[in-house]
Amino acid sequence: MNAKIYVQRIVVMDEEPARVVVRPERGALASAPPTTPPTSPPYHPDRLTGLALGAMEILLRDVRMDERARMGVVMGTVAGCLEVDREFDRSRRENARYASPAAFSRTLPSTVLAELALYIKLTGPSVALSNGDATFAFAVWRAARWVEAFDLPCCAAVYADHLGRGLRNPYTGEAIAAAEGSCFVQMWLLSRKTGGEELRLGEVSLTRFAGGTHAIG
Amino acid sequence: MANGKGGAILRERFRPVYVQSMAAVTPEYASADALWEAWISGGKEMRPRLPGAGAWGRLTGAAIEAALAGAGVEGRACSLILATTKGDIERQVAWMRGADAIGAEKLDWPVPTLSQALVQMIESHGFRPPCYTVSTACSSGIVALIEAALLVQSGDAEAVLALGADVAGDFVMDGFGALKAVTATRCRPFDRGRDGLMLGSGAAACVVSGRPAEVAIVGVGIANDATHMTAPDREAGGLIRAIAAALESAGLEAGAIDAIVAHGTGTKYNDAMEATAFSKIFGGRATITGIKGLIGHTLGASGLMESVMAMRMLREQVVPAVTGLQDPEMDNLNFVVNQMRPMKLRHVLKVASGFGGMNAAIVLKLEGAG
Repeated sequence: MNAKIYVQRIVVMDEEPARVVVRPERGALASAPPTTPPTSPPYHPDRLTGLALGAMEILLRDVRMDERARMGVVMGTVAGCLEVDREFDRSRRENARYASPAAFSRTLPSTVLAELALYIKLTGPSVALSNGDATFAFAVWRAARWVEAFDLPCCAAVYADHLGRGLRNPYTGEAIAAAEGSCFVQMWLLSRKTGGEELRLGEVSLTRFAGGTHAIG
Repeated sequence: MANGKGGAILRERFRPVYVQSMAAVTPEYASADALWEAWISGGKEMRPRLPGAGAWGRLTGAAIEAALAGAGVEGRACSLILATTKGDIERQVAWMRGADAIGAEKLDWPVPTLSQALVQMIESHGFRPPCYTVSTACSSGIVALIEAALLVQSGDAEAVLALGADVAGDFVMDGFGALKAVTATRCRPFDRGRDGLMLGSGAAACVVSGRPAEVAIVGVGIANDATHMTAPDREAGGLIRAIAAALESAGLEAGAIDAIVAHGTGTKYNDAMEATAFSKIFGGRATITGIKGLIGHTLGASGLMESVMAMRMLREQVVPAVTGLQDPEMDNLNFVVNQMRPMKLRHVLKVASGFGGMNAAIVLKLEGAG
C-alpha cells in the first residue's frame, strides 16, 4: 500500500463566525464561492448535518455520479452525537414513556455519516471514528489507506462536530477557531488522480497527545 | 450472483489475516466457551435484564483480558480498535445530567466521549498506537475486525485487538422502547411470529495478526443502503453489495460459503431484508443460523460477538440452531431449526446491518480444511 495519494479539494465550514474555505478555488468554485454556510436543508432540522451536507456538495462538485456511488467516507468526530444524546435524555427525563423516538434515532456517532450517505447517495464503504485531538488526522490517514485497500475512485476524510457549550476548549485544537456551541466541518477529498497536492503521510508515530491518544506524524 | 459494482471492491485478492484469540462476555455468560455451550445446547431464550452499575468496565475488562491471554500477548504488543455505538452510556448520562444541572464547564470530570473510553483502555493495558474507536451503528463490530485486518495487511500494526462493546442500560432501553422496536414476548429471528428485538449487553474481542492460525479472515465488505435513516433497504442493496465485496475479496463464489451467521434481530423489516439478500445471492444453499434469541442484540458488540461464535462453528464443525426460531417465514432458505447441525464447514459468512443503512460482511475460513 504505497501508491501516491493526492488531496483534490479541501472544504472548511464553520457556523460561528460563519465562513466557508475552499481549496483550491478553481472553475465554478472560484467564480461563485459561498460566503456563508448553507442553512439546514428544509427536510432536516439538524444544524451539523446541514453544514456537512453543504460542505460535501462543494467537495464533490467535480466527482461523477458513478464515482460518488463507489467512493468511501471516513468521518472523524470527537463529541459525536453528545448534543443529541442530551436532547434525548431530557425528553426521557420528562416522561420516559414519551421519550423522543426522533431524537433517539439520531443518537449515534455515525448519524451525520448516514445522512451524507442517504442524501448524496454514497453507497460505498464508510466509517465514523474517534481519537481525541488526533481524530481528523486519523480520518485522513484511514481515508488514504482506504483508497488503495478498497480500490476506491476517491475517499472523503471528514471531521464533523457539534461542540456544545463548555466542550469547545478541550477538543478544538489549533485549527478550529469557532465559538463554542457551534458546528464545524472540515473535509478533504483524496484520490490517486494526479493534479492535487500530494498527501505525505508520516509513520504512525508514537506521539502522545493530550488525553493519551495518538496521532500520525 | 450480484457482483460488487457500486460497493467496495478490493483491488487485489485480500490476503488472509489470522485470528489468534477470541473472547466473548455477557452478563449471563462469563466466557466464549460458556456462551458457545449454551448456544449449541439450545440455551434458554433471553429475558430482558439490565446489566447493572459498572457493566461497561466489567465487560470490556473481561473481554480484553481473555483475548490477550488467549493470544499469549500483552496489551503493549497490540494496537486497539474499539467498536461501540454508545460506549459507557450510563456514565455519560450522569455527566449530561450534571452538565444540565450546574453547567458543563463546572464539572471537573472529562466529557465521556468515545475517545475517553479508549484512553482508559490504553492506560490500563498499555496498547500501542494506532488505537481508535470506530462506530457504524450495529455493524460496528464487523467493521472493527475489518479495520484490524487492514492495519495488519498494510503493515501499520503487527497485531490488533479488535474489541466490540455496548451496554443496554436505561438510556438505550428507553430509546428502543420509543421506537417500538422491542418485542413484548421474546426474540424470534426469521420466525413468522417475530415481533421485535431484545436488547442485550456484552463485549467481545479478538487478537488478529499475520501469524498463521486456525481461523483466518479472508474476505471483507462494507456498503451503505443510502435509502433510509432507520429502516433497511427492502431490496437489500447495501447488504448485497457488502456480501459481494466480501466474496470478491476472498476470491470465492457464493457456493463456497457453507454457513451464514445472520444479523437476525427479530424485527420484521431487518429479517425480511436479510432473507432477500441471502435468497438473491445464495438461493437456498447456505445454512443459516443466528444467536440474538439467546443473548439479545448487543448493538456495537454484536458483529464481533457473533463473529466469535462463527469462528467457534468453524472450529467445532457444528452449526447451532437459530435460537428462538420455530416457524420460519422464509421457507426457501436453509435455516437451522431446533437441533444443531454437525457439518463440514470451511467458509462461514458473518453479516451485520445497522441504522443509517450501514452494512458489513466478513468471510472466515478454517485453515487446513482442504
